[in-house]
Amino acid sequence: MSRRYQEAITVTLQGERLTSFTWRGNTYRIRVIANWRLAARWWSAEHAANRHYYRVMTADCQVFEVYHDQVSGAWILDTCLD
Amino acid sequence: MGDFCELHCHTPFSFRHAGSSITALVERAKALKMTALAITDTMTVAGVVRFHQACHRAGIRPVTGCELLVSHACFAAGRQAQTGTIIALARNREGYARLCELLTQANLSTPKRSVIPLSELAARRDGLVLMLGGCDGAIQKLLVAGNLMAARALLDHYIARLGTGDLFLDVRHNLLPESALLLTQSAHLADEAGISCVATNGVHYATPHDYRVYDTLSCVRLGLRVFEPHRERPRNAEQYLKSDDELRPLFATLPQALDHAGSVAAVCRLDLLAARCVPPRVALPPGETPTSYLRRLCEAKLPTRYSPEEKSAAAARQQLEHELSVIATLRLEEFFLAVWDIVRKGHELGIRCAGRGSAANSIVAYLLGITAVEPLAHHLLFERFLNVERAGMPDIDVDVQSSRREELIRYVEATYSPEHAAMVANVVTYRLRLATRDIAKALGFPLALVGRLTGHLPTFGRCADVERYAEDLRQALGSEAPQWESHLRLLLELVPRLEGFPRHLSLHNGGLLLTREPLTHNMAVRLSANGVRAVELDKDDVGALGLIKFDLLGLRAFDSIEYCLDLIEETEGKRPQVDDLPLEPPDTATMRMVRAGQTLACFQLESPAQWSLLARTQPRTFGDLVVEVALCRPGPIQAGMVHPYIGRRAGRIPVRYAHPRLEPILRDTLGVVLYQEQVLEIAHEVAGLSYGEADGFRRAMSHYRTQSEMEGMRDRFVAGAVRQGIARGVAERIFDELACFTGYGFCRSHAASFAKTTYITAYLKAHWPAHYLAGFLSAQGGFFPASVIVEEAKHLGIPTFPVDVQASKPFFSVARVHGEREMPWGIRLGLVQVKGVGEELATAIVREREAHGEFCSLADFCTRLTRTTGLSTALRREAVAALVAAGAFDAFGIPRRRLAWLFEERWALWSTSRPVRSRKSARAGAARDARSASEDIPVQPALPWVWDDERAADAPLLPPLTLEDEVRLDLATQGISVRPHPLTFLRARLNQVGVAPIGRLKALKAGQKVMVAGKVISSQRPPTAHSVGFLVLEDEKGRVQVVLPPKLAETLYRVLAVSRVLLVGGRIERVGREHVTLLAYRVRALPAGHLPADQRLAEHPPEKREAHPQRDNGIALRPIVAAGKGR
Repeated sequence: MSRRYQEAITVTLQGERLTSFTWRGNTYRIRVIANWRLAARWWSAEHAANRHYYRVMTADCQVFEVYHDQVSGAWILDTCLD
Repeated sequence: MGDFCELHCHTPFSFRHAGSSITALVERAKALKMTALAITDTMTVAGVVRFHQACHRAGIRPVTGCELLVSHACFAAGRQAQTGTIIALARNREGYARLCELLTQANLSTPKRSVIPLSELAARRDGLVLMLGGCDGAIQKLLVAGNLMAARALLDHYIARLGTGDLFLDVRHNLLPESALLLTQSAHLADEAGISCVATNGVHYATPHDYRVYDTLSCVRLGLRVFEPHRERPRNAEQYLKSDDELRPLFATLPQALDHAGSVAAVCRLDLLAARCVPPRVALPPGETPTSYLRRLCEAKLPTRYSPEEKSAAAARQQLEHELSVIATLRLEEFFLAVWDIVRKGHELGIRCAGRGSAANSIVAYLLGITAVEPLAHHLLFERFLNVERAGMPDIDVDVQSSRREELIRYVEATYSPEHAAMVANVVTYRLRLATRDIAKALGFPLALVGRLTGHLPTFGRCADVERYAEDLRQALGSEAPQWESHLRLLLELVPRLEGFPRHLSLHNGGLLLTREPLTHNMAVRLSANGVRAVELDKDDVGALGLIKFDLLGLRAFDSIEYCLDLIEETEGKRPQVDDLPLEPPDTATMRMVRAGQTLACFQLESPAQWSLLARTQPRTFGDLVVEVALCRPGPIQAGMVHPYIGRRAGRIPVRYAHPRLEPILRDTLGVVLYQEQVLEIAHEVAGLSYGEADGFRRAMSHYRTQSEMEGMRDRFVAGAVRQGIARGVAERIFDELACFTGYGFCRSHAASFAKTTYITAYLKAHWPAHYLAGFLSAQGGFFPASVIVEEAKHLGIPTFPVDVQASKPFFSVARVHGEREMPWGIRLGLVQVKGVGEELATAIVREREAHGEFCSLADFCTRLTRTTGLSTALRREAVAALVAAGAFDAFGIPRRRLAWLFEERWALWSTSRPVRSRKSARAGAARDARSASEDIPVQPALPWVWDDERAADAPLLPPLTLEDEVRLDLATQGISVRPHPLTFLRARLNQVGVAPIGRLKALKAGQKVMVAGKVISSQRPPTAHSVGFLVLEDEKGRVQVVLPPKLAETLYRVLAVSRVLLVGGRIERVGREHVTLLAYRVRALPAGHLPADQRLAEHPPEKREAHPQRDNGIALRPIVAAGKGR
């Protein structure tokens, strides 16, 4: 089962590499296991999405999907995968 | 910096599969420092020529290829994956030819959805680099489905068929969730199979910015709206042209794939663009070379065209030698021979054809019979057509009799074999309306709104100009505008970006491509929508490849001439030799008719603008006719050349030349620069340029864009002239005169060719008016509707006869009028004139009548027709009903209403029963019929009611049709009427309110106010006329041109929406001695506005029916019967 959160997070980057993020007060050290881009709903001002997704794994093997919103620059935790 | 080159790149020629133009893609590749870029459109090479040209301009190397759809019967791959895409890149010329062959074969064998079998690809793979579609292909599909085994089996299948040489697996990382995994798996597969991977990015647009265009066009292609998901739509904006640097990180595990792309690009070397033209190979008699044969043909004709005693013979010989040497230098002998062969065959088959355009400048073309105008006497300048410095393709357009053009095209195709001949395509690009329509639909506008949006746009607008119509579009949406505002903004953003995008291929109007090498060496052949074999390239592309297209253009004026000559031959037994008429001096009667402005139906002289021009210029010689044809064009009118010429012609302006050297050049146009040849000669004589340079100068003048270019040309011209000893001021004045000419001018040779046709039509009209007008009507051409021509016949006193099943031919024919008359021939309407009667049925009727005698009754007609035609019963019923309504059976002497009633009652019976009488007795019956013209002939006693129309005692008594009814029916069923003009019926009322007949205007003085009524037969607002409108009104006595000031012209469409019959108040303007026009100050629709007292007029305006003939297409007989019953 996976769960969607859609909550803002803060991240730390080493160069372009994503190394950790902080969510609800906890910091997770992570490595990226996949990444992809999504561009959708460009025709709608409110719902347009232009995101770079990262599937990341924490040291204790939890897997999250976070994305970087290319328009607003925000980092969002999208999904927690089991 | 690596040397990655993109090898998978779609251009707009993939048709709605790409978001950036070819230029944008090539320039982006250049900016990314790629050394080469590939074009790989889906199943087509239509864009390669433009792609090569763009690459040349940008200075990068084009790689030519195609994305092939391949079917591979591979059991292991499973049922779902039986077709996949393979990218094929041409290593060299042979590879490209193979590629074109493959595409051609697929296009011709399965035109709907062309697919190439793997076996065919295997058989023709030499010279091709293949990339197996690890990206969009079947292997990837299997990998995505997780079926690694099947993917491996399919790869083995491919390798077994195609070998491993020049075989690659293309891999891609488009930043999709599955990309990384697929990359790893593909690398493994390739490794196992022993082939290399090549990196591509599957490009569909140049920059991420164009992603929206691509996605929208994908929706258009798939018939979706943007918010509807589909697996073939892109999921992100990553398929743009990426540089080596950008791709390296993505291919971190497989960097060699990027390097392979560079090395594949390096081996694909192919240059398609040609330096010079190659004419097709022409079959020659044994022992002849093209050069000797061309010379022999010309020399054989020389003495017949220029008799040796005359002075011109020496000049002609000299000119011939000169032209032959130029042709030999350019190696174009076979080009001339090919055109000669086409025209020769045309003449042999009795198909009228003639060269037009600059080719008529050539004595070779004249001697070969390609053109009809003698070049020396008419000062035609060969250098305008060909000169040694001109590298471009020469152009000979041949006008062919419209109705028989197909025959000639079939002959040419058969002569050169289908491998060497096909029609040229026309690339249809997105125009404003179409782009708006497609994109609005994709953006989710409801269909009703889409219709409203496009309705507010001009028909021929450019996509780039859509912003100009933003307010119109908002208005079109009306109250719904606020709700759609965001979508409208998207629309305004996307539409201009489709500017220049090809939307589909259609056929060029008459361009036939003949090649020396098989067509497939250069391009793919396909079937057009209507099944014609055509290449995928348009005329410019073909020219860039050094191939020559031959234009065979349909010309209806030739149909008119031929039909007329046929009719004369039929009645007189011999055909007048109109082609050999002496031109100087021209025939007196013909020129008198032209000067009187009676030029309706004469080629190029029939427009209202020409009437007043003729009245002013009063042409006397053939040369004057050439001027006439050249003058009445948008170009000369815009350049203001018409008035100076008319002024000089009338003697109001003195004829002066800026320099004595201009006199010989401009003498016959009275000092006005009118023809392109004159520009050429002035540049040669005054500025001392060679003819090649002068022609370059002329073309530069025609296309000049910027002020600075113009200044450069002025300096060159003036400097040259000064060297020739001409004063600087004079040279500048001459240049200014030429500059105002800028390309609007006409080629004298073209005008002369047209003028010859003009002269022939005028000659025929002057001497055989009935025959000519009948031929003209059959040809269905011309500026005005057929009804105007019929009125013209009536004005000329030519008797006209209605359509009649006993006498009419399928088309218009002439009928002898007995007795002492000025006009011994009349015009008989043809059967096909009746709406609903096709040529097939009309021919069947005439054939039946000629074989078995005249029809003796409607019943006889119906039963005999049932037997002889293959038409379906429903169609036949409709056609016969239309014939009844049109009065084609009036010769039987039964009132039309009664006949209509009978037809309705009896058709079921007549259409199923077989004729009872033997053919012999039918013939006897017909003979009796002809004598007595009555229906009461002895009939089969067994079935009397089947045969006897009149004895149907149960037919109700219906009132006969009035003359007005008959006219109304004529117009409704045929669009024309031989009976009185509709205005005749209003004349009494019009006289009461003081409306003058048009025929009386000639007697009035200039400036006099007058009111006329008439039917609008033409209405124009030419863009050159500064929003002035022009109308032509016709009544039973004549025609008059009405000039509408801008204010009236503006609102005219509203008046015309009410009625096509107008009441016009205006002032008389006199042009020349005879001609009268009317300057309108008031325009009203009739009868709605003016004659309210006449109730019947208001109820049944006879003109209104004609105004909307399309509404009367299916003539129902019941209303006619019912109307009769009601009275």
